[in-house]
Amino acid sequence: MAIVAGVDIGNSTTEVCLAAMDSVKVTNFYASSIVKTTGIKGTLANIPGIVIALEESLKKAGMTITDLSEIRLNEATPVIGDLAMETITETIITESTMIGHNPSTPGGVGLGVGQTVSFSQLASIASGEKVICVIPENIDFEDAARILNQAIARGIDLQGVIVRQDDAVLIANRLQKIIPVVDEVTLIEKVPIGMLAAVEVAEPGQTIKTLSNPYGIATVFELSAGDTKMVVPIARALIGNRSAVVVRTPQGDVKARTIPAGFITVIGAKGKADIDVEAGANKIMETVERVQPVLDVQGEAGTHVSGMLERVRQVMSELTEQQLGDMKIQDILAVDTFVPQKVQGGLAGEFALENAVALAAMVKTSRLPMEQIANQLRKNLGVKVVIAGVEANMAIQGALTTPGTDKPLAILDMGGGSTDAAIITRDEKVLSIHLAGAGDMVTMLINSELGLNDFDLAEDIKKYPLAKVESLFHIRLEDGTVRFYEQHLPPQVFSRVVILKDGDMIPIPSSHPLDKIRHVRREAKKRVFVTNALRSLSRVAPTGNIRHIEFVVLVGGSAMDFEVGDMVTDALAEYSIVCGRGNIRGSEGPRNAVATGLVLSYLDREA
Amino acid sequence: MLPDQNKPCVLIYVFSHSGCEAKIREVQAGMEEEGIPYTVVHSNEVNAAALSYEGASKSKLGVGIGIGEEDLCIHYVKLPAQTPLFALQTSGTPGEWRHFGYNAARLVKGIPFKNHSPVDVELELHNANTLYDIVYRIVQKVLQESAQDHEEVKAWSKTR
Repeated sequence: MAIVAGVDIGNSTTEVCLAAMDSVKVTNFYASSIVKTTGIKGTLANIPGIVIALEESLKKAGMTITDLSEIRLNEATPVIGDLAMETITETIITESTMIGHNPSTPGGVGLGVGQTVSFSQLASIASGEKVICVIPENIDFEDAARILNQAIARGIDLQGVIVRQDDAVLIANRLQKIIPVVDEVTLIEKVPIGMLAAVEVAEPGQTIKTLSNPYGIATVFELSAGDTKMVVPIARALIGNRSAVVVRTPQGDVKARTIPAGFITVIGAKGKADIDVEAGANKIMETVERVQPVLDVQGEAGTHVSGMLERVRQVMSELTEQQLGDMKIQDILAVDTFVPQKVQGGLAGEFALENAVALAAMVKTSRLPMEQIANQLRKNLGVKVVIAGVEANMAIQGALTTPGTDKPLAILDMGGGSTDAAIITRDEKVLSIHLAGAGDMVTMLINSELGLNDFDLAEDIKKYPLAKVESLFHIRLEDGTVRFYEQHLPPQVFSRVVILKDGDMIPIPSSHPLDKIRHVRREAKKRVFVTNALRSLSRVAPTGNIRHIEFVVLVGGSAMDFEVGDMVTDALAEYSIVCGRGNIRGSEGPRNAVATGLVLSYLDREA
Repeated sequence: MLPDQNKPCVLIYVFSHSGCEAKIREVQAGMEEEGIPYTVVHSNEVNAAALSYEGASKSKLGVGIGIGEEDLCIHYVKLPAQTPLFALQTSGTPGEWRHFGYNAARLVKGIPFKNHSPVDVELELHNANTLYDIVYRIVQKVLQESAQDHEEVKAWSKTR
């Protein structure tokens, strides 16, 4: 009897399957384990992770390393992916003309138009003038209101107020007439003085109407048709706000411009095509499909795209110690997205949603230095180490242990870096493909679309369901059910959207409502996983027609996700394909397919 | 009992001491800015936690603020009496008092609490002198680098 350990080194996790077997069959599956991969897949840095995973499974089985007869490593597919995001529009305010932020409590209501004057100058303004007063920091709200009221009494036509501190309601409540007051303007000293400005505050629960409408701005500032065209970006940035300020400065200019993102050249077996990144994800993907299989992708020199593609090549070249020129990009996945970006020249940290294209690229080379890992492992542990079989074959062998499956069978391995598909026909022929874009890309999309700037948080949003903390004692889950707590919840989660992670609540520090976050999360998953599921299956389908595949088993890390499996199952049901999460050996779920396949391949070798 | 206490409002219970007027003013301002009504009640109790709990128990909104001489608390009626939701164990600053007003109102409104940030980092950065220093240092560094190795600086700026 032999004790065999199958070790699968993946991009993000290392998995072990431990079994005892005689010469014809597996007599006992002892244990499996899963740990985080140390270092980049296929490098010596993986060894600590492998050892930990081995020890963990051996401990579960009550054994030690010396009991092992053989360790079987996978011939890891030398696939590495990288991601980039290319913003293709941007809003620049060349001279400060707009304050479009949304303080939680603006004061007063209405639209006011007048010259901006600083608070200290107010006394020297002649009566009858239409003014908008700018109040700096450290002016008490009672003093501010008193002086403003005196000015009104002198006959100055006070139209609106811009305040640094969070005092808008306090000041508005103390004024003799109702005028709009916008507060919490961080860079108040940058507000130009002596310029024509408009301040608008909407009724509670409503959004501004005049300053978010290009013709509204044109009316207020008496703009020509040509100038009206120029203010479209301002109006657009202000849509949905409850309050806004627009200041007209002589050289004031807001530009929404398109950044030349560069073009990419896709070289395929069926020809070569150039496509501008600006054209958007759909056009890029159409091009890729037209020339596929892709042999290489190049970016226009000196652009961001080219920088990103070069980086992927570089990493892969160092990893495999092969020539940089031999690194060919085998696939790209482009997804349209948007990025909230700080408006350059804004005064209160305004954001504008800019269009962007997210790109995942993937390089495949002839081999990874697995032999080095095997040798090192043999030296360290004193156990026979064998490199067995191609990853795709192993994964299929493992997937076939799922109850209810039969050949021909396709597997869809959705990992962190790449989406892999493989198919085994009735006559045991295996065909596999690797595509760019998987879990990491979803994380990137969530991170950028919600403007989080925090990859760990985005990763948690991807992996765990959300809830809204509705009171100090109860939360409402995504599906609307309510959960009560006996102890009061910590104040920092009060009224926030939280991630339910292993019994903990992680508050999301943004004002996005739960529905928005959920929508972004689900859309990101659909745009990456459903797209790639269809793309990869149609490529491995023997006839090129996805309908001719009968069984699809989902394996890999992202198949564990609480909703991706269902999304893909749902999308494939349209093609009458039986698709579901794998259940390796009837007990492991979608995990451990390759490791199990490695153990099973021991029998083939013996025979 | 004061007639005002029957209205739905946040009750501010105060132990009268010198300087308490300033605290009451900021707490009130915080609540007014958030648009939540309040009533001030003077009491002989000294402990802010006990004051705030009494306020919360009597408030129709279930939220009370206790202002003691050396402490400040926000309490919610459904919490145990000894554990106020927020407590300030020092006499505090006007900014902190204002934030207690904001957060008591926000507890009623059911929107996330405001964090008190004593130093406004962004403002600090835009202070003319600091900005000058930073720009000065960067310019110096770039000049030095370009003097040493012109090629490298070019490469650096390209990768940015």
